Amino acid sequence: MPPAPSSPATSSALSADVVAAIDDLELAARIIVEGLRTGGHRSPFHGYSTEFKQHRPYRAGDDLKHLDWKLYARSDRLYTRQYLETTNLSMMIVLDTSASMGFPETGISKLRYGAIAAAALAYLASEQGNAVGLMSMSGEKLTYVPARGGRVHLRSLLSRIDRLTAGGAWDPPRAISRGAQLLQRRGVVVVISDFYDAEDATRREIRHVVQRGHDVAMLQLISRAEMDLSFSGQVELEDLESGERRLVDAATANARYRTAMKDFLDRCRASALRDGVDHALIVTDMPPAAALRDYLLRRARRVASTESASIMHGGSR
Amino acid sequence: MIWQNPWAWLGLATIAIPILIHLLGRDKAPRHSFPSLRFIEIAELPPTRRTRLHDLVLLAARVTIFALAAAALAQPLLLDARRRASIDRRIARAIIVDTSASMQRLTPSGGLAIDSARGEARRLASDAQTSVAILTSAPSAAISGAVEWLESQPSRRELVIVSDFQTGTIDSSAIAGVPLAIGVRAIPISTTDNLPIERRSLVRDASVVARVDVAANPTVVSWTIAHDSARLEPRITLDAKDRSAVEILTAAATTLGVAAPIDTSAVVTVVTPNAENRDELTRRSAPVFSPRLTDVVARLYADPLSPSALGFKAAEDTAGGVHRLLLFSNDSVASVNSAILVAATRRALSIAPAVEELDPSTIPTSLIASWQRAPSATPTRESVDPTNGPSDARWLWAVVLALLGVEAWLRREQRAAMVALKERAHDRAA
Repeated sequence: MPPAPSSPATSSALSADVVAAIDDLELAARIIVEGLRTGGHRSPFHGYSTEFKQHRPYRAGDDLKHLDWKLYARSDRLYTRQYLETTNLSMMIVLDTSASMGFPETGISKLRYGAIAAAALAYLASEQGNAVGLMSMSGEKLTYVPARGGRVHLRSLLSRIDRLTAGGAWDPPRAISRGAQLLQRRGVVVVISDFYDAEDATRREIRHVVQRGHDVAMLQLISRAEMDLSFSGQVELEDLESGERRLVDAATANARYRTAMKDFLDRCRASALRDGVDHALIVTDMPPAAALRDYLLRRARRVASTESASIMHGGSR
Repeated sequence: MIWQNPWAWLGLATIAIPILIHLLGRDKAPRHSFPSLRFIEIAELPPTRRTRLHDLVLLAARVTIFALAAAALAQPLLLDARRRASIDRRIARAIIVDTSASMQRLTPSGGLAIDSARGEARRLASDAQTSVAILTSAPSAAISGAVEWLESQPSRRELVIVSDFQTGTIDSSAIAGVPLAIGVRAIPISTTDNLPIERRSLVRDASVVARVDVAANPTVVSWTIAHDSARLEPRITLDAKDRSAVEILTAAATTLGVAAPIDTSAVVTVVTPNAENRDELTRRSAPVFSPRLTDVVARLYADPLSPSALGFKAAEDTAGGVHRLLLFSNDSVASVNSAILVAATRRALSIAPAVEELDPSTIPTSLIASWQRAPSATPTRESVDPTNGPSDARWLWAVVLALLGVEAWLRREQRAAMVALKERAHDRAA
């Protein structure tokens, strides 16, 4: 099942392989972010606190949506609302480092792609003065970098992301819950994973996080090789996480596998939609910039529509 | 079916070779890491069978090749009727021909019983692969020598006794001593009664005729010794029904010095314990086997006046080309036992018809039938002539060659099927 059609890639959207080949993760992140900016995309990662500060007389060029029409009706003068300095939001990136993220073993793995995406998102958010943190697992232990701002912290964060390796188990409900807890205020929890593990429990935990007021984004990474069984003849498949081996005939198994995979991806998308969670299905042969652009566009549209709905209903939320 | 080289069946262990090759050499499916088998599980995909049907057929062909090769090396021989008849002919026979006086009687067809017996012996000898004929007036005593000769023969073995089976000729205890692997056949020669029995011999230069006229009553025994012009005709009239009287009269005749014709062609030596050459004679002694001496020993044992309690051992010495009977005695030369032994020897050497020969009754037919048995039925390896052309292994080798061709064809078909399968999968993936 192919991913949602993406917007035409710009000439600056480097392929996943090329980006992955860039050893310096910070550089790769910067390249992606520059590519996003070139496209004129506003970062959707801005605070949307609507705490009113004061009025000031309208100046040409002010955003009309901030005009206080009630005051105009009363005073026959145009005033622009001013708000408190846009609050820097906190972002916690929860990155799946389980063994399944190490697939495929040749070319760009899901973990590497996820690391690049995480680095780009962290770079983007940090450049805008937002605090960014990281939650992952090492063996049975959760490891995290607290959400902070600043260039120094960003470098440290990117360095930590760069050192992550795929292996072991993954406890998504625990990682997501803890990651959300570590955000001191409402923020964005970006979960980058294939979401193979604990499907129901993960869905429930994401719902809890949303109910606690956080904004959750699910970036679901799938490699092209997982979309169907692209093998021929009899093969012995070994589960990267459990080590279980199963002998199958790829030709006869492919159709049913594709159906099962499609059903799974549809479930993930449907539950995200139902819970009001941003969901992006990213196939790892897409250029990371293009994939992130799609996601950011959708998020920006959603944020904008949320703000419009808020204005239409008059004032702060 | 017999197997001439049964040790070759150990080669059956080689069928493990194609089985091991089949198990270890199967195409191993390439192993690939996969992020999750979740969806394969959900899809309930059964694993494919790694052993295709034609793999089993190929394995069966290979196992059969090895098994047949082992069978061929075991040198099978199918025993059809022709071969069985041929094997049956491969028999060793010891034929004991009764030459006692009663065999001088006539057969119902008019010929002498002894001539019929000899004819039977000749026929049986020609039918056998190897044979020996023992002519003796004491068939019972000749059995041990005959058995000893038969046991040295590699093929199937049979003891044949051709006789009129007069009472006393042979008894069940003598037959019981014949090993079960040796067949026993008795060929009775029918004779008529009441005819004179004659035995002729040449004693020194004298022609001796011993004649017994067997009548209902009385029985007349006479012998005539003719030498030059001298003629001695002692005559003793006996009542054949009174056997004890006969024995006494025979002993009396001996002790009174009545000349009983003695066959001096038989040389007998009584070896007493202190004889100087006893050790040397012991070294040279062999079982008694020559017919005449066997006859003498038989008469010696049968003599009612010299029971076997005398404790002598009979042997034969053939040194110098002369067959000499040795009687090893445990009694000193001056003892009464030695005298009895010598007297008994003289009587045994006598060509006068033995007392028992006067008895016209014969051993019951049912008893004779109970002695008979066929030689061991299963032909041994030795009984099969290895020079009788190639064994049946050549047919098995022919089947092996054919199967090798089948195996090569199956292998080619399997390879072609695998290539086709891979191409189909490749086309599907493309």
